[in-house]
Amino acid sequence: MTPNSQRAKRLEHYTGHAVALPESITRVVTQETDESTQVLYGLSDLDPSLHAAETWCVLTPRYCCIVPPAPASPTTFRRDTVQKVALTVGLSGNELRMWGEHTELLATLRFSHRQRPAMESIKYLLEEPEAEAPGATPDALFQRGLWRPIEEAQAAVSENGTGLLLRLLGYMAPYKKRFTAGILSGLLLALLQLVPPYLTGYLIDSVLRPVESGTQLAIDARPTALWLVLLLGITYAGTQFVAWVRMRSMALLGEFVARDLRKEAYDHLQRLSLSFYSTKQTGSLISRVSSDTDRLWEFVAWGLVDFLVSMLTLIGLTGVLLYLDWRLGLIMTLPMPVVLTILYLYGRRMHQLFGNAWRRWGKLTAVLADSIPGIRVVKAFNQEHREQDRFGTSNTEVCTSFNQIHRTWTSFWPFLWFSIQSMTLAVWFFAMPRLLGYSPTATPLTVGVFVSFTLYMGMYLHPIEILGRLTFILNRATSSAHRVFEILDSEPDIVEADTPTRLEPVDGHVRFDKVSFAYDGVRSILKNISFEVQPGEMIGLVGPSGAGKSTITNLIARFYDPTHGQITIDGVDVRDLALGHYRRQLGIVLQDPHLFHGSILDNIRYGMPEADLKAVIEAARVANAHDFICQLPLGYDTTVGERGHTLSGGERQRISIARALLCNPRVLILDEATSSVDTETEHKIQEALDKLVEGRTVFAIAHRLSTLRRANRLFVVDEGRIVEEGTHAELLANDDGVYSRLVRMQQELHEMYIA
Amino acid sequence: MKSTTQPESVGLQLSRLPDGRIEALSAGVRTVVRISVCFPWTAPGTFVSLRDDNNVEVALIEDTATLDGESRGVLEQGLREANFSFEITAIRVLKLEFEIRHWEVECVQGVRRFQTPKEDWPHRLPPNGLLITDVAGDIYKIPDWTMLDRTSRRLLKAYLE
Repeated sequence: MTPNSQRAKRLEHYTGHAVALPESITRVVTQETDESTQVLYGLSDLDPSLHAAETWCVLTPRYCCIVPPAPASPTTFRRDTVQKVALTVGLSGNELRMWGEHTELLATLRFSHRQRPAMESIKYLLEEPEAEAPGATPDALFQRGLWRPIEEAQAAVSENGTGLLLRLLGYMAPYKKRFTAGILSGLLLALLQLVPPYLTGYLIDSVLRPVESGTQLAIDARPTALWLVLLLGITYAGTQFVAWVRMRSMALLGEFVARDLRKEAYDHLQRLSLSFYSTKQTGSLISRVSSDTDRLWEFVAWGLVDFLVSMLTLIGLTGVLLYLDWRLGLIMTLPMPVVLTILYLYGRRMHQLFGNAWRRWGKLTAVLADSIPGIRVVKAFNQEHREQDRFGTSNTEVCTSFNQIHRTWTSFWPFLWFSIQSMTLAVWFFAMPRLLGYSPTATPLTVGVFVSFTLYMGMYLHPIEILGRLTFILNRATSSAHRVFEILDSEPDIVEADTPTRLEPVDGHVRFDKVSFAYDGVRSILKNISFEVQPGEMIGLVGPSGAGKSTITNLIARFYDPTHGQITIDGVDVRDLALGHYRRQLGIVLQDPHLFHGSILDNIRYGMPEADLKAVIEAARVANAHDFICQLPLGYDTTVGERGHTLSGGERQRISIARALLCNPRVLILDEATSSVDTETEHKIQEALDKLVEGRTVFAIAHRLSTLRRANRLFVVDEGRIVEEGTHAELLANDDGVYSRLVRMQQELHEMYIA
Repeated sequence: MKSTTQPESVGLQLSRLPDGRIEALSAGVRTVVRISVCFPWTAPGTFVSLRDDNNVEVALIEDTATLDGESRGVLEQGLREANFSFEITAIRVLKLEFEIRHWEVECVQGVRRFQTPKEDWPHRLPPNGLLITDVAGDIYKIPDWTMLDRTSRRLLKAYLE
């Protein structure tokens, strides 16, 4: 089974409906439309009375065909006759209506949120007849919409639990010697633990009892006794030695495996494209690299060998008990499957209880995280009592949950111990007549054998306890392996060409040729955009939020590849450029610059660690940052970033400008670089930016249009298209233009609130 | 915008267009509206905002009783559609599968399978009601979980306790 069909099967299991267009529907669509190609399809999973149904809506190149369940007939109409499409969103029931000419209602589809991505894509294609064909197959697009919310909640890896653990074992390959030592010593440990009870029994039967009964002289028995005691001593020492080898080998091995996994996961994260990060929460990615790898250490270090040792010990004990006395052995071994089953159920129950308790714990900490940072608001509204009640309720729930856990385990273990002790009692009960010899028909039993037997019985519970705990460790390890391997199995969308071109240096000639881009492959954020920018030109990108301005700069930086069309830099397709080399010649200043934990010097030198101190100061000077840095007691060595010295937004921005400047980028992207600072700081940043843009190709996005006064040309972007282009004066000349309207609105706002 | 709370909503008339949409007639102006419920859980039948295609509020109805009989019928039907959520009558499967909880349920609307994040808890509607939101955002309601069959209660209890 291919990975794709495995994924489809899993998706079918999750949704309970077909995840690809059924063959019967394809036949109907082909008959109805005379077209055998489908562009896109969606499933309407509710009927008009809001009951479960399966109505398929299929777009072919020219038609829209709606196929309800039999016996209802399909509805087919040409896509170009659709005049209006409206989507109404409800709590769980959504509605898509399509109207044709003369406001004739063509179709109404009802569906749950699960089907919304596909239906929204259908709406988009019906509303945009000129839209490019989707960049993926209809099956892939339909399944992507269904998968996305599940994948956001769950790590998606195709292997099952066993497959994952085998894959995890593969990480031990570089440490074969250590692994072999760990496993062998574990197995040896299991065997050695069986020796002392046997020797004890032998010592009693072969030495002590004969001496006690007078059949052997003490002097004759002494050498044997000494040898046996010596052997016992050697066994104990050997046991501890192999235990040491085992613990040391596996603990270190676990740490090495965790380190390798952490490194591989982190390295892979650095290679992954931005599209991967957009579907995952930062916290989840951090915990995969940190706590999940730690849980895998726990499994490798203890789980693996403990499992083998416990299983072998149990098998060994069963064998030895049956060998010593099969009748008594059966009393101990026959109930074992029941005990193991009870233990498994207990483990499952505890897992469930702990899961619930930790969820309540999470709720409690959420109350703390909510109220403590908001304490000023709490006090200002005099709501201390309300917060106390909220915390009190959560606190009681946590207490109840954990008490339930305590009630369960405190009841379970005495019960289990008593069950096993009952088995021991039964052994005593049946052994007694044979030991004392008052039942002439019973087979005699020696004290030594019986002592050995009781010692072995005492050893029975430990491996059972470990196996019970291992269910939990195994569950956690499989879950963690899932989450870590999901990172490793994700492929970057942006891949470098086999023989990449290096532009040395980049001149900064940027050309967009009929570029379209859709994050989901269907709904285009940029629609057929073409423009050409000469080296050294400064382009201002203006337009309302969500118009596609940042998407243009994301494509220039090749964070994403266009769905259609081509972007060239100095005449070379951006997809053919050596990525790292190209990005080194690209500077980006963002609205909220990120400074890393470290000194100001480290941060300015982030893109060019080899830069000399003079160059750093020069860059800071041009960025208007040198003066405020010199006011800090530790100057350029001041630690900033998380847990470091607090800088204002404007100061951080000027450091980020110095950082960009030091790399001497040939193409510069300024994304709202001055929008979050006060007027005076903006002035200083603007001064710095004015110096920064000289001699470079610049794309600047700004909502404050005044900051784009130096731009050679302005591109007005609206709904994914460049709707106006020209200089500030040229665009203002068009009174009805989008730019004129934006300028007027900003002036009115300025007069209203500032003037 | 006309904020139509009592008694101002007197005079507002609602009707169904042939294509199923709702039309509001207020002060002689006809507008096609959609329903937005301000408090879908707290007070589902009150404070209903009627909005046009541009999301401008045409009227805010505090209480449906202020409308005439026909308009009230139209609004109540509209509310049933807008407030639609799946209603669970029995739970067949509720199990943990790698970071998510997988559900197979019988609803008034038919059989459904859905998933919730492992760390998500249902929203409780006193005294025994539950609202469960799945990963796609669909909402499943259990009006009184103590009235479900034994298996369903057992599965839910393990999840809720």
